Amino acid sequence: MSQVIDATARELAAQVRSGARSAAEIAATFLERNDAVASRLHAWSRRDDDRARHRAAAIDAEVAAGRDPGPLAGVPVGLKDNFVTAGVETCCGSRILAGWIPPYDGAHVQRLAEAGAVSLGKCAMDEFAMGSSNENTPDEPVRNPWALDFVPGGSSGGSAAAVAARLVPFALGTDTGGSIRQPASMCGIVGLKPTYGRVSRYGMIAFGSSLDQAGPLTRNVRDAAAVLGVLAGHDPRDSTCLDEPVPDYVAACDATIAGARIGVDRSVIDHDGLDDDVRAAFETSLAVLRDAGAQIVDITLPHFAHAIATYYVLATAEAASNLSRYDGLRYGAQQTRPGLRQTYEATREHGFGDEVKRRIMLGTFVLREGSFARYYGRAQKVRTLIARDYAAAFASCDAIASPTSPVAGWRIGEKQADPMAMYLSDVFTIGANLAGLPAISIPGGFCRATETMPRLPIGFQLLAPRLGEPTLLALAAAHEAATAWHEQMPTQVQS
Amino acid sequence: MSDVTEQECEELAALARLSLTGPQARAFAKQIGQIVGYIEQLAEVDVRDVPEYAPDAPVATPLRPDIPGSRLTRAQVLAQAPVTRGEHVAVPKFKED
Repeated sequence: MSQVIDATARELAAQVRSGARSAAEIAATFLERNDAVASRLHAWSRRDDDRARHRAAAIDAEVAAGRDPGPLAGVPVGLKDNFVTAGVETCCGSRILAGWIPPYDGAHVQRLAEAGAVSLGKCAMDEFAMGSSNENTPDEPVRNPWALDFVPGGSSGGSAAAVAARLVPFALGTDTGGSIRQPASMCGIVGLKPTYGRVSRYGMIAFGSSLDQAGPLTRNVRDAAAVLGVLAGHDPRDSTCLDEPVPDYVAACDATIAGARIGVDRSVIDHDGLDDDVRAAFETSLAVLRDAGAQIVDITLPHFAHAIATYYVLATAEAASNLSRYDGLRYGAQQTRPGLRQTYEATREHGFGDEVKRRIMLGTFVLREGSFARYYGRAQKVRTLIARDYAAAFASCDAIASPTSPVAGWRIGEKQADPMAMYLSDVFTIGANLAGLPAISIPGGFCRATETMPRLPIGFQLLAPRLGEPTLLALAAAHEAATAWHEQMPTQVQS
Repeated sequence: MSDVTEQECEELAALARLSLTGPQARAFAKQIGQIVGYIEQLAEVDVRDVPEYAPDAPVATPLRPDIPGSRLTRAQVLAQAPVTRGEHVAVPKFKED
């Protein structure tokens, strides 16, 4: 089994394409692995074993007929439950979409299928992707495979836990304020948020439309590059999707980083809430890149301190607008009442969880007449200043480094009663979304086990200018080549 | 901390078509007040002459050929709706007699 579950996505695809191993054997091995350990993690909102077996058999038939099924031939994948999948219940982690079976596939599902990937099912998530811990759910919260009483991060926590635990070689997540990178950090894997517009949003259930991007969660950098190559590219069904050439991202991983300039804003790293072990791991990762030939340069991001406030105005405003479509009439679950308004209210009251309601109300607050200019309009201007800060910083560096999360993790339930404390944990990831920039989190060490903390992974984040994914991948690959953090198997799922 | 009253919370809920219980309105008033207090920091930022955010490179949106695209069938649309009547989506009464 270990030959299959420890293999990279690219190795598995190469084996299937060459006929050395069947997609059916790979699917069966991962299903067996899931039977053995998945119930410890609650990483799936729904498994789709039969469909996966049929799909794997179809891939094998293509190979037998002499056709190439594509760059992800026979590779199992987990899809966050906000990717629309024809014929498969898609709930976005919410009761309001319970029982919804979409009539179409989104762009991501289509592109993965065209590349030969085999979906094993839908990964659990924070409801409507709102959360940093995967606790905002009507279901069991996802567990961190390194310590089962700790959160896996969020909102793509199911995707991250599944990849870290070798339940799938890769998964898709979405990132509105850090929801790919932060769970990747907490689970010890790679998470890549592309440039805004690099990947289509068609068929990805909307949260904050000016911020949302889909991207891969993988166990190594080159797999992330390969998956990005499949996902990226123009899609006329999303008017914000960029019509730009898609480079060879896997080849970009081999580029030299000699002379690359990594910017660090020291005032950001002196952030009060930064854990000592995270700070130490960050400095070690910088040293790794310096030893590989990069230069570390000082930069300043003067408006960084206002990023969280800006984000929670804009993201909640967009969410309040996007989620107004859930009326219980056209799709999803309905709480029927005698009148229309009562039906709306009962459906939304019953269908949404507390965090979603809180954000809809906050978004309504910042958008309502009388507050609009004071909050939403002002936040849009501060967003301009934040984007300008990054542009100015990139005049003197090729990438910007920071920790991904200020802490390695926290215990399930620890921050649940304090939404503000949860929001502050997004401090390092939000800037990339506000400015539309690509960013990656890669494994960067572990915190020390103490009486109160288990040994948990720590992520290292890099941001690049718009469409600078090749730069990110080269730096991340160089860091990975000099470290072995990504090779470790989570302790709670070793058998 | 900014003051958001239970009554304001109930007004927001009404605007957002949510109905809250008394304890929920109390809890949300406190939490939303705390968050609003935090976002008030944006008032300190000098935004004179700063435009609202727009991406660096706006996406070109050329006209598309005027040809019909794929669309859902009536049966597919009706299959999504929780309550239907004949070939229609059923909607509760929205006008007084």
